[in-house]
Amino acid sequence: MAEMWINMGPQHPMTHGLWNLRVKVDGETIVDAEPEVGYLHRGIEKICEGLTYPQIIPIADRLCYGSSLTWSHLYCLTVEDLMDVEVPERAEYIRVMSIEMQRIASHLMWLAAYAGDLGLSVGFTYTMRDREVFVDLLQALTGSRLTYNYPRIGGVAHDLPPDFERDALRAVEYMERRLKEYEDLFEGSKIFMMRNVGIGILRKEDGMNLGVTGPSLRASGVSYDLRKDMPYSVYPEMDFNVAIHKDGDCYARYRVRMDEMWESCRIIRQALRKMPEGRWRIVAPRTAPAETGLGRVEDPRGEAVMYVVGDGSDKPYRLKIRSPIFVTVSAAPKILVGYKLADVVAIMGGLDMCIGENDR
Amino acid sequence: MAERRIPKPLGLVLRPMRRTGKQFVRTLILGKPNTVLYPEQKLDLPQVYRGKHVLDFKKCIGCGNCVTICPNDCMWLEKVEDPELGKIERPGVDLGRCLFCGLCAEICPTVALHMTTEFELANSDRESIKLGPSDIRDDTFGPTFVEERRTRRLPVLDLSRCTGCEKCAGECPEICIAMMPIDRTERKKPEINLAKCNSHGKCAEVCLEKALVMTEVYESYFEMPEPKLILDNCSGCGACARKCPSEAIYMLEMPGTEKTLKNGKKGKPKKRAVFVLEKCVGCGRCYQACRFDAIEMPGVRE
Repeated sequence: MAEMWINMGPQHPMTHGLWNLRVKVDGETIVDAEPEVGYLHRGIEKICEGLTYPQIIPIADRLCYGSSLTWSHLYCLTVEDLMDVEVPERAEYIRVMSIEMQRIASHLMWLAAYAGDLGLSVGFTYTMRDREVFVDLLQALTGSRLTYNYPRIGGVAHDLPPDFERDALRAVEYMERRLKEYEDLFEGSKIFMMRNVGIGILRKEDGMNLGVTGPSLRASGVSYDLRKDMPYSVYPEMDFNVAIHKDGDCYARYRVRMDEMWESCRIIRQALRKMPEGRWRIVAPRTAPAETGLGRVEDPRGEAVMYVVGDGSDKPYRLKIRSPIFVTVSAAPKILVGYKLADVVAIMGGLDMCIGENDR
Repeated sequence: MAERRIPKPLGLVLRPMRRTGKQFVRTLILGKPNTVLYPEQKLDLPQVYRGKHVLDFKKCIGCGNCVTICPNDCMWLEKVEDPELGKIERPGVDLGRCLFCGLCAEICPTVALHMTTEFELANSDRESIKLGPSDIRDDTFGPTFVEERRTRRLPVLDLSRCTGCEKCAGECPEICIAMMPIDRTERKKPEINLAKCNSHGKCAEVCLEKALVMTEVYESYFEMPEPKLILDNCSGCGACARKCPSEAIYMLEMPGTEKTLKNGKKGKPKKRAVFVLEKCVGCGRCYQACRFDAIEMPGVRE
């Protein structure tokens, strides 16, 4: 039978953003695939070269709409490495707590989109409802709902609002109840299980060779989490497990993310309990020395790296962003080949695409 | 890690049904819906929410730090005529470009600019969301707004009154005041080491001329550029002192520079600028005003 190329995207319900997946099909079976990205290129790395160091924080928020706090946190970590700034301990705990809230919100948004892709409208509405709890918390903390602009070079913008700890503990308790509900809803759904189990297997060797990180790699049985392996901030003082799964299929990726939400709830409780009193921000220098700074964090989607070169002025000479999804999407051909065309939605949805950080 | 749970056939049907049934009872029968009817009901927004800008005209000094820090160049300074305040410069905001990042409100040295919880800002054309200074003016909002801004009681110097008597330096328990001579003026001014000062206020008490006054100062978390005078280039025109929004520049006479006039009398001595850096907000307007390259301020826009 004749083979043919099919364009899935740039305008396709599967894509979650503007990108194009070209798949070569033989009948219903995929024989080749080729992701095309770049539709959302805004030139953020170049924009940053013309802005001063504090001005880049709101721009770094715009890298990813799903987990903007992680990116501004990463940017601040990088510049603190460049400037040799010591962050107060309270600020570190506030940062860890808020990025774990962001991780839960991001995973819930992924789960909502994934459920929507697979035709589970109930899953979509329930997860978006519970994401609202964490978005409200972050709104009370930072003052905005999506692009938070909360971390600063040398701390965080302001202290916790009154009664925040009580609200956060309530939200975590609520979330733990809801997570059981999701497990019932999703794993009780025959359709969900049929479309996930055994679909889109990423072999351990392929994942490691192609540089896949984050939940997609951990679902293939590799225990690689920067929070444990190369701890930053106050993660060494937190007691949590790295969620891994050995199967490497779509169900494993779903399972890893669900387990990560449980672990994030644990981290939020610990961070709130251990949070010391004191200052949450120090005055950061305006200019950076002519050196380089590197920051690596575990984004909800994988390993995010920023590299900044200073030239003695108040603007960076170069800012390089390593996006986890840009690498993960390049593994798409390895995952897709051999499955049916209808599985593309489940497989690519399970990778948790975020085009904002991918195209930058 | 939780292992894969394989439900029994009956559980496969009943468990999701129980979950959705519970939700049905909660929203429709008990009357606790998950959504709000938007135009009639609105969500409670926290006070830190970043919505429309509000400017306190009386507190604002027109330094333009908000214009400088804006990442998207959506603010500008505009000349306004106010019946009470006279000819002033105040910022305006183009909401069509605004990122609502809140850096402008954060950097404001006098806490005159705030962001309200007003979020319904849409309009039918682009010009009407370009808000000038009078559109964002609200002098009553500031006091209702509780903001944790770091304040500190510091002695603030009025150099025009200072006689250089050195009483303050002798009285300071932390020995943080040093009398530094000002080049070519034969005068001295107290230099206060702000890192050591712990707000005793004794220096202000002994000052006979009331040149040192203890004032509540907002401390910025942003390090701002500081002006530096190149004395040889300074012509003493005073353009920088007129432009300075925080009155941190004083023009002092330099004795011994008088020109002898034709009739044998001596003219007025030349003047030079003196910066009181404790008052400086780092806006760079003196640098922009100087036509003789007498002020160095690295990092300020031309």
